[in-house]
Amino acid sequence: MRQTLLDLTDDVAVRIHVDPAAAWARARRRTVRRRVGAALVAAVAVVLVVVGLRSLDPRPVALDPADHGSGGLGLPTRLGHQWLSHTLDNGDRPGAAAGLVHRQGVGWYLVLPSGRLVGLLANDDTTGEYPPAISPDGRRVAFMQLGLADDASRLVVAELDTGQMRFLSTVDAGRTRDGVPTNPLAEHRVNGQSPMRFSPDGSHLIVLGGASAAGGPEDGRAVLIGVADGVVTTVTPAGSSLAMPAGWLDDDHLVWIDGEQRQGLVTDLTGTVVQRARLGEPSGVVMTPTAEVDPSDWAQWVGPVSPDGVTVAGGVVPTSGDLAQAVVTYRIRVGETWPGSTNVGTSHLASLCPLSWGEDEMPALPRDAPELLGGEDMVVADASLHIDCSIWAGDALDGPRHRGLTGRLFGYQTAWFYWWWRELLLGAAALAGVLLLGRRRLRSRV
Amino acid sequence: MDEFEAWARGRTASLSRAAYLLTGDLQRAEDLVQETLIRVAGHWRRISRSGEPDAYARTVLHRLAVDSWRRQRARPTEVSAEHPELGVAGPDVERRLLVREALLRLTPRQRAVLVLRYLDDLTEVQTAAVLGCSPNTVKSQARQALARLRDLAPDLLAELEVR
Repeated sequence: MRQTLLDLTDDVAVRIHVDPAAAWARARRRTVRRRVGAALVAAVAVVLVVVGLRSLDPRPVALDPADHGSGGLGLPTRLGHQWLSHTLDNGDRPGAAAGLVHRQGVGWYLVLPSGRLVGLLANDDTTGEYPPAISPDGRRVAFMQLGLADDASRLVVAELDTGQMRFLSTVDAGRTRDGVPTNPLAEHRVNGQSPMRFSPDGSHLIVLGGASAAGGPEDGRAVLIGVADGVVTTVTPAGSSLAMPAGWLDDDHLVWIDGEQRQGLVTDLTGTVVQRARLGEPSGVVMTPTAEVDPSDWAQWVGPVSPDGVTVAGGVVPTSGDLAQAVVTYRIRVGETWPGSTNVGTSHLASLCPLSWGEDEMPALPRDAPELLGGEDMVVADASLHIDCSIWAGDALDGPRHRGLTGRLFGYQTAWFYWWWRELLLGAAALAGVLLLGRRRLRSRV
Repeated sequence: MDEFEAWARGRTASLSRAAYLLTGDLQRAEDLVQETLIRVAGHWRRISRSGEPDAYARTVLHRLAVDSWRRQRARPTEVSAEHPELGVAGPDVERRLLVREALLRLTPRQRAVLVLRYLDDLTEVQTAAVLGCSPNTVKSQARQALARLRDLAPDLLAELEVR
């Protein structure tokens, strides 16, 4: 048999021409290419592992507290999906937060400057009925804790720097069962669909509420809560029936807008009027041809006062004509008239979502996700988070931007693959690995 | 590189014979040998230290041939009808053509077993190591291949015996 095969291939060797030198050179080039490719794959793998580990970091509350004095608190650029969710617990110290967001059907979350979300205890507030409040320095949040035993509720004030959490059982959501308050300790209630506001120094909280659940839902008035001592009082401007101030003028004074009477008031914390002025006709941008701004449509609990105490802003939602909404501001000054202006016509102003205000001339407008803020303060969010409201700390609005790796790579892009680029890269790497392994196994078989 | 070139020039003839028997075509055999040399050159430092470049080259040649067969099954390639390597005319040429046709009608694995066992003169265990199968498989494949060759070319291959 061997002789037969040798005879068959007798002339073959002289007719086949191979080039060992060319084979050597080709092999060198392949080796170089293979090593470069392996180095690139290794580099990508290292980056993916590092990024993946950062995404899966199980220590969302172990961040260094932001340096408030140096302006370290700032806005994140992007809010992406969260692989691991963490709920703020008593003793957690996440440091100053940039703001708060509500995920439709899920609940309220703290937004850390890095863009990480930390759930509040009130996660069962799926409808966003009780908007929490964040102090201007981002170090303190207040929220209504719902869903306690027997449907009870209570107010919680959390110190994000120290981890201390105060539970004010004397203030609840005013819920009853069979006519009996679910929280027998409650002396005051907070109304739903009403914003809470911290004073500029964070020492007081003003909410719309009442004396207790027994007082009935129509018993709405401003409730002032001392954060440190838990003392609760109600405030009503003398000679007025106004229920809720537009905001804090400073730590000791409140600003009230009376659209019906076309007047603005400044009171101290007992309700004593220290200034009364006529509201000027708003000038400036006309919202739409069919919807004129009417101060009587002032939704006074929507807007805050600017940090410099000069301007108060409010949402105006016309009751007739077009359903457009606007932000109206009044310049607060010592005098008989507060000049008004209509600054922004927008359809994004959510009635349950309060404005936030930094040092800028105009308050930050909460918008529909994925764009949570407009203009230069833009924060974009993954649409799959279903964020329908955002509230921002004043210092965060004035602070530096925290872009993160994704922000640096993609800026404000919101297409789905920009939110899932890590997973897509990992999937591609895994697929390449499987194909490479399969090819090697195929080659090893005869 | 000099060492590799010296080895390659010394092994080209035997590699070419094996490649031709595996592919049945001069051009494809040449490509197969050249690619084998490239693969050997890529790992020359390691395999020259191990002292078994011949065994490595043989394994690479057969595995490349397997890859080639699999690709052919998916995409058949044109094979030249001319075979100048078998001669121009005469009874020897006819005999070679007949043997070549008979070999090509074997399965790729049977062909590989014949080449390794009878051309390269490997044992059943060595053949099994190259092909990644058991010695029993080698034995049965060789027996079936020779039986089929006797059926296809009874006059010319009657003298063949299974070793």
